[in-house]
Formats: sequence, C-alpha cells, structure tokens
Amino acid sequence: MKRLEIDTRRGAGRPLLLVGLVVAALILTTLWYREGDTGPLHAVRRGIVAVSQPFAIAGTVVTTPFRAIGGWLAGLGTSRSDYDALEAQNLDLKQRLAALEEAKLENERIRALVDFADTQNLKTVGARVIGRPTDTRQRSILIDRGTGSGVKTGDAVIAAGGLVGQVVEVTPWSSRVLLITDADSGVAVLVERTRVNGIVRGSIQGPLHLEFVGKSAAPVIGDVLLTSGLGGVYPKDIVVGEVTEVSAQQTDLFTSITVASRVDIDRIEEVLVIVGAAAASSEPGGGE
Amino acid sequence: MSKALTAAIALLVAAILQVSLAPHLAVFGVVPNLFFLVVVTLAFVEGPVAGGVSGFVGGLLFDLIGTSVMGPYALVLSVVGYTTGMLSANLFAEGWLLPVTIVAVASLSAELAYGVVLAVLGLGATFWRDIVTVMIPSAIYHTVLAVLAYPWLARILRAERPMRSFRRLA
Repeated sequence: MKRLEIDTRRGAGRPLLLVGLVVAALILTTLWYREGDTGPLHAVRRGIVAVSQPFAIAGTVVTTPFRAIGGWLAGLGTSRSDYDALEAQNLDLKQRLAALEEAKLENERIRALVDFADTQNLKTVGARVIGRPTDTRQRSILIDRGTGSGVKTGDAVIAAGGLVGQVVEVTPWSSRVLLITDADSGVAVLVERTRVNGIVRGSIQGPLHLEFVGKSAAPVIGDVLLTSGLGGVYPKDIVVGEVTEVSAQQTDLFTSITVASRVDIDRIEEVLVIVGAAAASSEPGGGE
Repeated sequence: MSKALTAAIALLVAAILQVSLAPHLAVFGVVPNLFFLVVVTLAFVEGPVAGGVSGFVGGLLFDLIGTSVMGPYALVLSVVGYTTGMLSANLFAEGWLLPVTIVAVASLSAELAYGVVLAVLGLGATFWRDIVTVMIPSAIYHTVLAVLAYPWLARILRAERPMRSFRRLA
C-alpha cells in the first residue's frame, strides 16, 4: 500500500510547471537574440568556454593513450611473430620511436602550416586544438589561444589544407572556432577556374555545399574554390575545398554542388588563427 | 543527500563529461548527449516534475556549451523529461521492454523536436535530410547508451530504492 502511494505521488504531474519551463526557455531564446554580443547571456557562455577549457584538455589527454593503443594494436597484425620474439627488448625503443615519430609528424604539420601562412602573406598565431565538437549538430572546436595571444572574435582560422572556420567566442586563454562544416556557417567563395561567385555552406551530414551558382555557370568536378573576400569575413584566396559532385534537376534553379575540404577537419590538431588581417571580421555564420 | 543536490551533481558531472569525454565517443559523427541520459533517468526514478526541471537545467547547460542559440534544447528536454516521467509513472508492465521503448521514443522525440525548434528559428535548413542522417542514428545511439547506463545511473540517483536492471524498474 505504501509503495502504491509513493508511486502515485511520483506520477503526479504539474502542468503549470511545464508551461513555466517552456515559457522560460522561450524568454531565454528571445533574450539571446535581442541582446548583443556583450549581453549577459553571451557573457555566461564565454565563461562556460573558459571554465570548460581544462576539462576539454583533460579529455583529450586521457583519451590519447586509448587511441594510440588502438593504432598500435592495428599495427601488430602485420608482424606479430617478430613482436613476440623481441617484445621485451624493443619495448623501450618503440616508446622512444613513437615519441620521435610523433614529434616529427607534429613538426611536419606545423612546418606545412607556417609555409602555408607565409605563402598567403598572412599574420597568424599558431594554436592547438584542445576540444572537439560536443554536439552532433554544432561543429565547433576549442583552441588554446585567446585574447592574450591577440585572437579576437571573427578571426579566420586556417590549416595547411585551407580554411577551417572562424572564431566565435574568445576568452583570455582559449577560443571557440565555428567550423566551415557547421550548418550555420557560410563562406563567400569563387571558383578558381571560372571566377564564378557562390556561398559554401556546411551541413550536419558533413559535406560542404556550394550554393547560388546557376546551371550555366556550374563548375566541374575537381574545380578549386577560394575565399572571395566579399563581405570582409575571410581574407581573399584561401582554399576552401574542391568540387566533388555536380548535379541538377531540370526544375532546379541552381545546381547542387558538393564540395570536399582539403583539411581533415575531424582530426585536425593544429591551426593558425589569422590575426590582424586586412579583411575585417563580421557576424559569424555566413553573413556574407 | 537531498534529491535535488544529487540531481544537480549528476547534471554537473554530465556537463563535465559532455565537454571532455563525449566528443571522443562520437560514432559516425554522432556525439552522445549525456544530459539526455541523466534527465531520462531522473524522470524514470523521480517522476515528471524532476524530469521537467532537470530537463530544463540540463538542456540549458547543453545550450550553453554549444555554439548556437540559447534556449531551444532547454525547451525540448524539459518537455521530454516531463513527458517521460509521466509515462514511466503511469504505465505499468513487467519486463524491460516498456522502459526501453519509452527511452527510444523519448530519444527520437527529443531529436525531432530539437530539429523542429531549430528549423523554426531558421537554424535547421536540412530538416528532412537530418531525420535519416542525424536524428535516427542519434536516437539509436542514445537508446543503446541508456540501456547500458540506466541501471547504474538509477542506482545512484535513487538510493532509497536501488535497482539493478530495467526489470526491477518495471
């Protein structure tokens, strides 16, 4: 009997409470849109970014050995017998080799980044990726440079293969970068070969899409897309990606164009933030 | 320890894990939402009021650590938490099938509702495509995680009546 009473009380709903919560959520959304970037809700989010930095770093550090073990185990399959015979003697050497190999790869990546920045004649700040996307729909990363390094909201972020995204939140020690693969991101581009303009948008599914290109001006597979510099969001002539698919129905006004970034954005580890570039920043997410 | 404090700690831990661990548990781009797991468990063990309130707080935290508008997921998760609490408290059946079904429906509903809210706000331009590529995979992933994590979470969140499995819950 007592159990039944407990369950009955537990199951009692309060519809007014639910209505209150829904209204509160709607009010928050409205306030978010109405207040500027310096409003209290935005300030709270910046605080969350700052507070979450050590946890994001810790997560990356903690999971690194597991990823490394996975890779090491995958490599065992090719010469397992050799490993069995020399495992004890080679263990120390393997660890040293792995460390050197990692340092070499990192060196190569950073050298490629610096070369890329030099080629583009950009003033940049190097940064490490310390946090990955925390949501399926929103594609952003956390980097370990903030206002203390001269980074500011709106700065473009690049990697050796091209454009990565744009800084949308900055704290003194870290920044959040909205990736070009985010569904809310938009980049003004032009096709390198034909100089036709368009907008590259991200998608939740992952691929980029080139929009607002008419059928007569459609690019071909393999065409390279560069930032056009229009709108002042991104500096001109940064590689955004390559056209991988072009299709159009007769009834479509525009061609459906799929674009692949040259940057492996899901696995990127180091980036360059373009600071003090000639182009000024503006509203993130494709306001171009 | 009071129930409210326990729930608050659970949501705080979920926030920490969402930032640190969840990104590395992504499967085919689907990042697990740990707030959903905590809120659904709270709704199961404490009822609709706890489900609604924890859903609002958990959703707000989720919105805060993201990059989009603040409020949509708080709205969605408070409704889902409340409804899950109502269903779990008022439907009675033996076995594990009913709770698992409720979790699966709650997960899919949360994904669909979130997609609709984002579309209304002009932030979900590819809603129909997202159903197949994001919402259904997310719902499946969350249901699997809920089945695995629920007995442990429920044991922590309802100490006065510990449970070891869905069967005990039902």
